[in-house]
Amino acid sequence: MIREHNCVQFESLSKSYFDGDKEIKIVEDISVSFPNGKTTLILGRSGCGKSTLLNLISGVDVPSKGRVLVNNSSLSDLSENERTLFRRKHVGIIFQFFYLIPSLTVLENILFPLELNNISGNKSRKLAHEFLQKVDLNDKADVFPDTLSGGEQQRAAIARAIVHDPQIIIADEPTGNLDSKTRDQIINILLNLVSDKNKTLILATHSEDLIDLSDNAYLIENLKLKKIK
Amino acid sequence: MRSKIIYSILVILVLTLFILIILNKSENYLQSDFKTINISKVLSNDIDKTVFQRATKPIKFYFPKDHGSHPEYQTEWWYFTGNLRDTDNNRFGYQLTFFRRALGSKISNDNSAWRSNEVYFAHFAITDVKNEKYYSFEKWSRAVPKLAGSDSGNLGVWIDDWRVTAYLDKGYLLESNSENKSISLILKQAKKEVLNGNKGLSQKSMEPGNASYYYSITRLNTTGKIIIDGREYVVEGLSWFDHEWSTSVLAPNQTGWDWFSIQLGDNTDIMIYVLRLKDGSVDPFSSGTFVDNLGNAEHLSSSDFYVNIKDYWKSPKTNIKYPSKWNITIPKHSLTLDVEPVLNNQEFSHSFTYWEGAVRVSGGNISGEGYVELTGY
Amino acid sequence: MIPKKSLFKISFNHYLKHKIQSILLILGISLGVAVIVAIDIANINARKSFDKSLRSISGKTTHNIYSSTAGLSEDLYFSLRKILGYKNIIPIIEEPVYLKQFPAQQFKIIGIDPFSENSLLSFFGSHDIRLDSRSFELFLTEPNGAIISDQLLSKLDLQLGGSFFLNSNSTQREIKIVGVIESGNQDTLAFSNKILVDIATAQELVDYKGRLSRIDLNLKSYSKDKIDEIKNFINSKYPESYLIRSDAVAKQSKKLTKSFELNLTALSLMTLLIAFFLIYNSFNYSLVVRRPLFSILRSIGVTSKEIFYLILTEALIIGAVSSVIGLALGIILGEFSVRLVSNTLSNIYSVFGQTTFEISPLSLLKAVAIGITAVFSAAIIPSLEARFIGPVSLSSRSYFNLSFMRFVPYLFLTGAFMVSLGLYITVFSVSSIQITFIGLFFIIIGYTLLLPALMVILGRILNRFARPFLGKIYLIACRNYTGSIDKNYIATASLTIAVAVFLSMTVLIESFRSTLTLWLENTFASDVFISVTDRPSENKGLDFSLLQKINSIDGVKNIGYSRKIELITDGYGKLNLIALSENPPINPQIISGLIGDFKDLDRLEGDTVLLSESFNNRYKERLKDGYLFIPTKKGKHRFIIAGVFSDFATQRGTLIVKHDLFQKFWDDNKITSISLDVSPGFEIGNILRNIRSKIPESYNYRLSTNRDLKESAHKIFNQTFAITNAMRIIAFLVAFFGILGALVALELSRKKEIGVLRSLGVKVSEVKNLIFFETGIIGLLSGILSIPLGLIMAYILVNVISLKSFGWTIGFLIKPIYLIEAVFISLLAAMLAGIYPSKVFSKIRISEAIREE
Repeated sequence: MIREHNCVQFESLSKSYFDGDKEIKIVEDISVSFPNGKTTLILGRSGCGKSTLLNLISGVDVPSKGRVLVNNSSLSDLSENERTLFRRKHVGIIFQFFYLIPSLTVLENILFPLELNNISGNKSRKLAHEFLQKVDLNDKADVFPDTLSGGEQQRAAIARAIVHDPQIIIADEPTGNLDSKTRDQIINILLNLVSDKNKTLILATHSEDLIDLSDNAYLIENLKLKKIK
Repeated sequence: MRSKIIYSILVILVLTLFILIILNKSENYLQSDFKTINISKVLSNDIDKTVFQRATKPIKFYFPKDHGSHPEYQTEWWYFTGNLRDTDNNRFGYQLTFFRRALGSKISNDNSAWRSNEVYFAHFAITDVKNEKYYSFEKWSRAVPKLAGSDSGNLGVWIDDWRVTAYLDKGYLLESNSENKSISLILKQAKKEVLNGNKGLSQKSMEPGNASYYYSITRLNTTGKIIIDGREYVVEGLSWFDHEWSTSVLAPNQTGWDWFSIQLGDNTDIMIYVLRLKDGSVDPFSSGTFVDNLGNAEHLSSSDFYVNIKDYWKSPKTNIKYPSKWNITIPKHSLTLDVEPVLNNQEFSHSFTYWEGAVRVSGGNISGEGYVELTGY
Repeated sequence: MIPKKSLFKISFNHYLKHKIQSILLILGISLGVAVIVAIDIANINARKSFDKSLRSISGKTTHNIYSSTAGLSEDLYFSLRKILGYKNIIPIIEEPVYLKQFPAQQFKIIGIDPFSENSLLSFFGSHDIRLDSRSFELFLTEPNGAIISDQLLSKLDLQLGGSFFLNSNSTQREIKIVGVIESGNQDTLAFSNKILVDIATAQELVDYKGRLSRIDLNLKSYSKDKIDEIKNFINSKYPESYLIRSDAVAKQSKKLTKSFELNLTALSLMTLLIAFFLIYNSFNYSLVVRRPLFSILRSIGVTSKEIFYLILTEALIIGAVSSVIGLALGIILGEFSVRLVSNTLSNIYSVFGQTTFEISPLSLLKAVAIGITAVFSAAIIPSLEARFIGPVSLSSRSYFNLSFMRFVPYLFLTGAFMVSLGLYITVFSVSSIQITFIGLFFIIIGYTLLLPALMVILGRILNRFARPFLGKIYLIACRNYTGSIDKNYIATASLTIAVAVFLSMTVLIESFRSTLTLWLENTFASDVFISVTDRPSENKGLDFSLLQKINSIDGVKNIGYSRKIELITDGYGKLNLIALSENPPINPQIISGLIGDFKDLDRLEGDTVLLSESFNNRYKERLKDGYLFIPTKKGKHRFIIAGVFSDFATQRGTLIVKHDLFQKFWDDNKITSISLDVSPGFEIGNILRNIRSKIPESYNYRLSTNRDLKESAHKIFNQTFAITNAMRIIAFLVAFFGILGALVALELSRKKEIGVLRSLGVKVSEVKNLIFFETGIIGLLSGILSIPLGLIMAYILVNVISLKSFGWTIGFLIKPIYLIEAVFISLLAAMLAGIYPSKVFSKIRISEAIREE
């Protein structure tokens, strides 16, 4: 895959959704680039649409107007199926509520994206263990998620999001559900892994203290993305 | 992880159990093999004989009365065989035999019209030499007058439409019909009745009572019709009649007999039967009768004749090996006869299996014809 | 597309975790399949019972000769035998006998001539026989030697050579067992109740000297002209005997079974329909509960197609597993259903004998196929829905409800159309019974489509009326109902249909019962009845002299009698002919034709006969000219149809004539039943004792009062309707389980809302009340909605299907109590189903419940 300078781009993008008959606008006519290999923050109050923007990048959702480009090709013009496959291969998502699959063990959770990408057998096991190691969860490999603490779960989720070597990592309030000590730990692990592998990280949060740790930051204000770093 | 395996095994076991239940119940649907039973096997020879009379001493024979049936005796048969030729000199053989078998138990009089303690069966065969065909049929019936029976004062036996009836004086009408093969023959006695054995008492083995009353009419001029599948043949020739009744069985060491009836061109008739023993030798109770051209009968004991088997024939149907060519010598009468079947396959195979067929006889400057019966093979 | 291993694991673990729901799902499918299998087995049994009871002993028989008098002359056999060339003809004696040890069962003496076919094997087919030579002799010569099947042998607890007693013609005989038939794996009906004897023995045993029960012929190779020649011979020399085709009788009787089978099949399909909803509910629940999980998967990159195939694969495996279980269950159920069916067969169709229990691989396969198809089709819609499960944070519930609401009017129109079409087919047009059933299904399915609209209307009415009366909490419940029509739809639909089925069955049974009661009242008016208990085919009866003896008893008045015999015809199969005297024991309730009652037959000229209603309906076309031909001792005679009477005693065609007419055409001077009244002032118990003393012990008879008669009639009725009753219960059970699954799903999906309420300070007990109230609303409204459908179904069952299937006119009876019962059942099922969710919610932690995005 050719690594361009700008990995993800919003091109004249507008997004709104309907609650009943009412139209609620998130952003209107924005054009933003998210550079490759860099960490970009999206800031905003709760409910202002951070998640929605992340969904646009991962292909979960499509813009009302305009386009989403990934590596200069239009993501939003693809069919739902194609977008899903894109997401499978090139995106890793970390959720606020972890969303590990409760009926699989930690190891199996991490193996899952690999299996989806048709990587199996020894190769996948090696990779999974490698990342388990990286997030320091070796001893929890065969344990079910509901026995883990919040921090442990999120670590597992991070491993799951990176194990299949996606180009883009999306994190939606990854520390929103954790205490402050764990929060720092998670952020550390996440940023280390991202820079290690030169991934593009797009992180949505409401806490401003992460601005220092990121390369770029935007604030959702008045239906626009205001660059603050 | 382990609990998953246990669960899976449990589920599989339960399913297997269910499948077994289903299979077990649906077995009902599968067919079983087709089995047959045979009436003849069921009418075997182990019957209580105290009910019947046995042939222990010679009696006086009265004819035509003794042509009729003798119900005091358990088994009886009327045996007709004959060699016939049609107008084109095509050769035929026929056999029509009626058997009566009593069942021993007494029955009362106030009964259903179907009640009977006797069983009749009959064998009918035609040999068509020219076309090398042999047809044989069997019939069974209970002894109920409308179905089967026999006269007591004269010769008369019937099962359905197979019958022999006395026809004028010393004449008999034979009719038989089955599956488009039929005979309708008139037999006229050419000689008088001949008593076989010791004045008609034919001893079969040592034990007293193991004997039968046995006489023959060795020569009957025969005319009539044979119809085979619609084709009618007007025929004439000679027939032989045997009538025997008894309450006896073969001795334990006896396996069967070979019976020969021969009618020679010089108007002599010969009857010989060879009782075969299990060890292969000939029972000394074998005997025969020599009837000269005037009708005088002479008893032949087993030392008076020799029967040598010259050839064998194996039946393709039953795989039984029968003797199929003989040389019979009767030194007393300076006779050396070669006997040969006109057709190899004259095996009668229905409830019983035996070989009964027309034969041609030759010896020196004499020729003749006859019938041979081979049982116990 | 085979789902990936991990996806598979996820599914499997889910079912393992939610054991109760998984079991419910499997149970639902198994039940549906089990009922199909059980009814299939019952149908096969019905068919085979008919075939066996009619088939001649020799499988090659093409024609039979019967006599309109008891027994035909054996001379006919001998003459005919000659004409036929001594083959293709066998004499048979087949007469019923009784064994004291088994009074309820009918046994038959079969007299055969082992010599008339060339070997015994044509009688015994492929069975083995234990018969030795001495035994065969005994068989032929003894007055009591018999061959029986090994089952009968073990039933009697005897060995070969043992003996037992039987009752024939009111005389006791000892039978010696000389041979045993090994039935092996073959179906057992052929010989299980038959006692094989020689024909001579049979003639002596059943007093048939000089006679035969019938003659069997194989005229396969005979041309029509030749057969006519034979017919003419018989008609001229033996006019009371007649030749008929063997399959003709069987054909007519097959007609009877067909409608019976059809009804059973329809019942089973109805169960399947209900089970279908059950399956849908359960399956849907398992998907609803996993919606969040599927969202996560979609986010991670699982395509919607993959999810779709995953669910279908689940459905396939569950379907297969459940079908197998259902098969096993069905086979066990089958044993019961066979028993129930054979009761109906003997009571209504006069078919007797033991029951077969045969399962063909084909019917098993069919059941499995149906099971899997049911699951599959039930899974399709939820799977398609699942396809639209968006990744996390995209799906919105209210959005979905709105889109469903958009369809409601279309559904209503389609539903209305289907219902109208169904009504037209069933009620307003003349169609075959199969089409009628199809119409019924149209109505049911169409009504299901009408439901959402009706639910909305009812819901709004409820809202309007509830507002002033109830607290806020209950308002939530009402609002929820109208706000989640889509969610409530399936639950409501399945409950409605199940209760409608329940209601219709109730109406059917009660209508029938009341009609029957009225009929009994009017038809049997005398105080005391004496009747022989032998069946009509036996042509046994009481002696005429008994009449005088009984009449001479003090206190007896209005004595009357009847004679009932069985006629075998090739045009109409087996018929009952009843001859009635003055003051007859039966007052035929005439529903068309003759004005008046039985006495009024006198006014009519000619030889007149009354026909039973079911008979008339079955052969309407043929009888439209107003007469029919019946075999008599003088040959076939033409009788004028004077009227049609109501007869619920049997499905078999019944004719009624006056006794003096009967004597003119049939040589029979026996009596089947006597009726009398007791003069006032006389004690009935004494009269009964007196009567009993006058009747010789040797008769098999029953002496009953009017009340006894009606009681036993009701008992038979209950027996006969046992299957319908079973259906009712199954309908309720399926409703209950279906509702359970649906409501559980419903309630559990509202975890968050409940959590919010609890965090607001609503007590646990109040939450429980809320849930019961909600489920109660569903129960109540479903109950109300079920009434129109139930009544329509009842109407069709009573007035259309019963008439077409059985030829009976039944009075349609609806009592308000049935409707109340239906609503109550619905309410009960729903409230019972609310217990589980309320238990679950009482244990929930608030934080857990609220924790969603």
